[in-house]
Formats: sequence, C-alpha cells, structure tokens
Amino acid sequence: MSEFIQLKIKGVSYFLPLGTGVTKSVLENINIDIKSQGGQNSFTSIIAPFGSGKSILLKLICGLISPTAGQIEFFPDSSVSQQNKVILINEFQNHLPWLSVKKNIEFTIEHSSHDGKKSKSEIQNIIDLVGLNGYEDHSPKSKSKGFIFRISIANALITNPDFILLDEPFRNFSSLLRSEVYNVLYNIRSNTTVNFILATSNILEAIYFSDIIFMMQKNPGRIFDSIKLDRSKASVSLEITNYTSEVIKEIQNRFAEKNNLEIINFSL
Amino acid sequence: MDSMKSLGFSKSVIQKKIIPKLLISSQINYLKYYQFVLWTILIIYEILIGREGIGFMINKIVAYRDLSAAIALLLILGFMILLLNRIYCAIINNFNYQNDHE
Repeated sequence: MSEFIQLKIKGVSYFLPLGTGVTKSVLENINIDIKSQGGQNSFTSIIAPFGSGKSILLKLICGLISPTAGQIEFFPDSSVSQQNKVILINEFQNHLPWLSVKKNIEFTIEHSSHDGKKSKSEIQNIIDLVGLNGYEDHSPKSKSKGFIFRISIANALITNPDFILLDEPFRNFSSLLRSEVYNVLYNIRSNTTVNFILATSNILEAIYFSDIIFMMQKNPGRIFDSIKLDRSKASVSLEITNYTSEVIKEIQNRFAEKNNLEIINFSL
Repeated sequence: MDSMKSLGFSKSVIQKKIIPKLLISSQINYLKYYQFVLWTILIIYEILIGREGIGFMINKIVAYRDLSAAIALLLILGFMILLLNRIYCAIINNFNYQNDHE
C-alpha cells in the first residue's frame, strides 16, 4: 500500500436516463478531495438525506458506473483501474451466506482479481481484527447482522484495498448492534491503513468516525458544505459529548439552510 | 451484486457460482409459503367436493359423527406431517442460506 494516497473527484455529474431523450440529474458538480499521508488513513463521511444519490456517488468512485461529466482520479497510481483499489460494502453486504467465515475469505482470495493477502497468518490476522477469532468455521446463517458485517469487512480487507466504501451498512441495525459494530470498525480504522468513505444519513456515526464530513443536498445531489473534525474530541465515546453536540448543531444549521434537515437521523 | 463486482469477482464467477446458490435459497423460502397455501386449498376442495382424499375422509367423519375414525385420522395426519416436516427441514437446511435475522 502506498504511503501517499489521494482520491480526487473533480466536477462529477451523473444523469440518469429515464426514457427516450429524458434524463434526471442525480448528481451535479461533485468535488471531493481525500488525502492520506505517511501511513495514516483517513475516514470521510458523506451525510445526505435518503434518495440524494449517495449510493450512486459511491458506485462512481468504485468504478461500477461512469460519470456523465467530470473525473475521478486516484493518486499516485491513477493508471490502475479503480476497481483494483476500492471495495464497496452496501446494506446487503458482500458475503456468501452458504460459506463459513474462513471459506468466505478463501473464496474471495481464490476468485478475486485483486492481489490481496494470501498467507494463512494474514487470513488469521484479519479474522482476529474483525473479532471473529474462534468463529472461523461458523456460517453466517442464523447469526446477527453484525456477524455478517464482520465477514464483509474481512472479505474486503483480504483484497488489500486502498479504500473501503460503506454505503449505509448499518441502516437496519438495532442501536445495541450498532455500537458493537462501531467498535469493530473503529478497531479496524485504528489498526490498518485502509481509507474509509462512509455514506450515511446518521450524523452521530459520521462524527464518531470521521476526519471530515461532506454535506450533500438532494434534487440534484450536490456537496454544499464540509466540516473538519477534531479526532481527539470526536471519537472519545459513542455518547453525546459537548463537542459532539456542537458539531451536530453546526451540521443541523447548515442543513436547515438547505431545507434538507427533516430527513437526517440524529439518533444513534 | 455491486459489492461482489467491487471485490473483483468476474462476471462468470458471479453468474455461475454466486447467483444460482442465492436463487435456490430464495426459491425455497417461497416454497415454504406455497406448500402451506396449496395443502390448505386442496383439503378445502376435497371437503367441498366430498369424493376423495383427506377432505373426503373429514367429510364422511363429520357426516357419520365417528369419533374413532376422527382420532385415527388425526394420528395418521400427525404422523405424516411430522415425517414430511422432518424431510422438508432437512432439505431446507441444506439449501436455505437466508439469514434468520433478515
């Protein structure tokens, strides 16, 4: 993995064809610049109301679809295909439900086109990191969504990605389960150099993890503001601290100006 | 399938090794529902027509008010449901990968 990684989204727009000659502007002039240096990873969140085009933006970053206008570039190695660097984890998660934890990871190693980690010790390290030590032979069936999320993250990490994109992966999680997987994600964030981009409508989870939060409005989807966070204050705990409530107020005010406030979720 | 593609799985791996397994699983869940609906319709039909099957037997038991036949039928039905359910569950557990929490 490179010491210096940068993702530049320059003037990206996306029009969705609705019918003959009719298009809908989903994303308009998106500009995002994400840098990580010296082995330090970054965690970026995009907060937006439901239906504002967050998922489409992540698919564009991932290279699954192409923008109608603008450019998405990776540095220092922009010649490499985007799909070699970016893994998407969405609400449905990227796991194979009929395989055990270990076999899920082995399946990914065997069939993925990415040059990932392959040795037994590396696999075990990742299983330990996501907290599935002792569950290697358990299958996701009848396990919680948190278990599935851990397998999905393990599958992503084994490909040695530069970026992991999280598309509202905790949308239908209970608050108890959320705090459990937040700890897992926080642990991964602290112990790897993978950069994360989280698309969410939950302000608290964005504040807890992020270095920077981009705010996005809908119809059309457009980044209208951003806020940098003080990591030492923001990720102290999952409880609402003075600093957290200040940031929430700030974000609320900025969304209120755009009349998008009612669809943002403030609860954990 | 977007997240599968982003993991670097080729189209053929997704089409041959992932989608069929997921499809079988979802079809089995439908089967569970249709099984119940079909059996209910069949027995109601047999009771109404009164010519054959379990419905016919229920029809006759009610007509003759035969308690011993009713008990015998209940025992036979109970045994059959238990046996078929065991076989059915064995099949389901082999092919159903849907998460119970979903």
